[in-house]
Amino acid sequence: MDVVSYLLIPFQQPMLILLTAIGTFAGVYVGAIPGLSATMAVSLLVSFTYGWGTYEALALMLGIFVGTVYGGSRSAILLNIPGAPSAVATALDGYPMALKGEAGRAMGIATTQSVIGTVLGIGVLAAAAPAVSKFAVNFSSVDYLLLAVMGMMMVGSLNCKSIFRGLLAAAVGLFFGTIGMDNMTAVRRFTFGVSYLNSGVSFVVAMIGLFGVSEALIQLTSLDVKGVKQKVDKIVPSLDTIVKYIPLTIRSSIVGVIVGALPGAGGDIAALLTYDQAKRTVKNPEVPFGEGAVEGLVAPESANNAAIGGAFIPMLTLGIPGDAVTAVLLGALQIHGLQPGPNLMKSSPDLFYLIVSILLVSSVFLVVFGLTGVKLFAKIVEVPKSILMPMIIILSVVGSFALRKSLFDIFWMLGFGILGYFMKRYDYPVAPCVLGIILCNLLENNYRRGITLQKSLLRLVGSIFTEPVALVLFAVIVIMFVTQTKAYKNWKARREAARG
Amino acid sequence: MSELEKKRSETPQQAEAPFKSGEKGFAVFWLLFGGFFFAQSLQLYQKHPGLDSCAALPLFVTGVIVLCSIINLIGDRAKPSDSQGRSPSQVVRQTLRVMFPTDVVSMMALLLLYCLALNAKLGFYPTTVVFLWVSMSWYMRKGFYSRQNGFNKKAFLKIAAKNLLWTAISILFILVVFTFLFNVVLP
Repeated sequence: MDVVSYLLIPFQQPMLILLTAIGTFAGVYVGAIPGLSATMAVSLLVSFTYGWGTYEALALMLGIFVGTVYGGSRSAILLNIPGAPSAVATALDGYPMALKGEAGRAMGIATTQSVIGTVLGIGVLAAAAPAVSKFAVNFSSVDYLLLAVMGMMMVGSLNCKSIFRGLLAAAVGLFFGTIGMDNMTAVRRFTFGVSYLNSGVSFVVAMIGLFGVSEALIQLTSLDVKGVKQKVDKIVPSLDTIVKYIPLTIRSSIVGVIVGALPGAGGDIAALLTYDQAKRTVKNPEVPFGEGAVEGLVAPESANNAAIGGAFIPMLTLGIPGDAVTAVLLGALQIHGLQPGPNLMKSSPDLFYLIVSILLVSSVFLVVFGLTGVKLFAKIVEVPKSILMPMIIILSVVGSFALRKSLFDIFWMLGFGILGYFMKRYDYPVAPCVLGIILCNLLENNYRRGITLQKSLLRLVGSIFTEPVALVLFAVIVIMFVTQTKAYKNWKARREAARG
Repeated sequence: MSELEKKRSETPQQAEAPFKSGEKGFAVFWLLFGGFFFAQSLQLYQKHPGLDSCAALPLFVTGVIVLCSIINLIGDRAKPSDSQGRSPSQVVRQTLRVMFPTDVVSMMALLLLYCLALNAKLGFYPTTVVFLWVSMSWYMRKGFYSRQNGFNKKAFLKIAAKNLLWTAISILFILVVFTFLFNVVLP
């Protein structure tokens, strides 16, 4: 089969199209509800779709992913509450537009830009992934070890008070990953005689607890926060409006893809970065930024959706997720017996092109669902948290039980939920913890393989400096670490202050 | 300041903002957690020595947990906290308030009861119906109870009926979507 045949798989199986449509539709509404994120939705789906075929499970999860990233913009525009972190920048100009009675126009522009961004991101994914994969096929165990460390460091270093909190969270995740019977020697680690722990901590259970229940508990601390509802009229934007902003859309989408492809940096960073860029580069906008500038909506909305395609590049070609959602998808693929990495393109090329195809189909459905159902949307988004959060917790319970039919899984999931709640309450990131559990095997296997090959730790470390890829990765890790330290930040602040 | 710079500068700004009560104590929790499992890993390493042994990674990661906790503790030591200038009993009270707001504690308690009910094999559907209705009604209590006006029976009945409807919708959703569509076995 060639590439075209793989791309056409969804069109030969109408069920895949239907599942993509359902996923996108559900994603738009899930993403719009503050407190519900793509990560939460996809992590719940991993367990529910466990018994499905890989294609079907992927169709639903990818649909949800695309829909959720877009859906966040709706509540950002209408309620000034970003439904997802990637919609934070959207609220800056989207909400002022809504206040001026242009909510429909803002939502229409957000939809079209999200679709264009998604399509451009998918284009880059389709073009770049095979090349990256070919390059990565020769990676050594040290390279993989460093890649896993880099992924966890990047996720850990963003949006938290100190890099050491991120590192701690990643180390905790790795520790949970080591619980159970060792793959190579069958030695039981930290099981304390509990037979349930022999098979290890299920990362799905951890994911549902850390992303789902913990978020529900955090949301319970702010039950009284309510947004201001806006009136919505005409939503479909004119062709002139779309064409007018195409250069900015393309620029922002390119940045979105690049940022999305960096392990750990997702749509939220891409959106903020491009909003900032648009603010600096757009001369004489019709309305100033922050007061309802269309450019302030175009840039982040195209970038955060373009980041979806970007995030798949490291996940599919290196086995290192680009963001939290692709980390969950990585786990989902592993559950279905697939190992994302350079060999995936050789062993399962159908899967790669199916993902590309489903993302494209999903972006078509995004147009349909994004430009319709405004009244239904207004009703759903107003469901109070006091109703929604108990439901989320029950879904988490069902999800954690579904995988192994064990009540212990429910208890562990709730335990992870409570741990995640405290971590979030005290500004410790939970994403590196989940990533640590998922990447533990990859990291441990490559470390032990490396040690066996090099015969000593010193020679293993020394090999970093003799292999170009390892050296580059090591340099990136060092730079990432140094730029996150307080000393560097202070130095940078002093330098900027001196410049005036 | 640009939006990105604003976002980036959240880190130092947050660092300068007062720590929440119990935040420094959380680093102590991680230190104890890491310390305990570091000792366990050391024992494992003594049984299975070698850099490529099954104990090498646990020893390393628990060491990292201990190290990061110590760095966090030292780094955060001098930072201003919400608990500063309070008596020890006030600090404990304030910390408990931050860690366990009423709505969160009540959810944890409901979850505990829910788990016990599931463990006692009382059945998923009846247990879930009770859990959903009780939790929804509890979180909407401001609609029918206030300290000034006391209990409003009419409002309670209205909210109770509404929550019964929401519970029925949720159960129906679980039944249709998970049982029929996903073929999920329920607890």
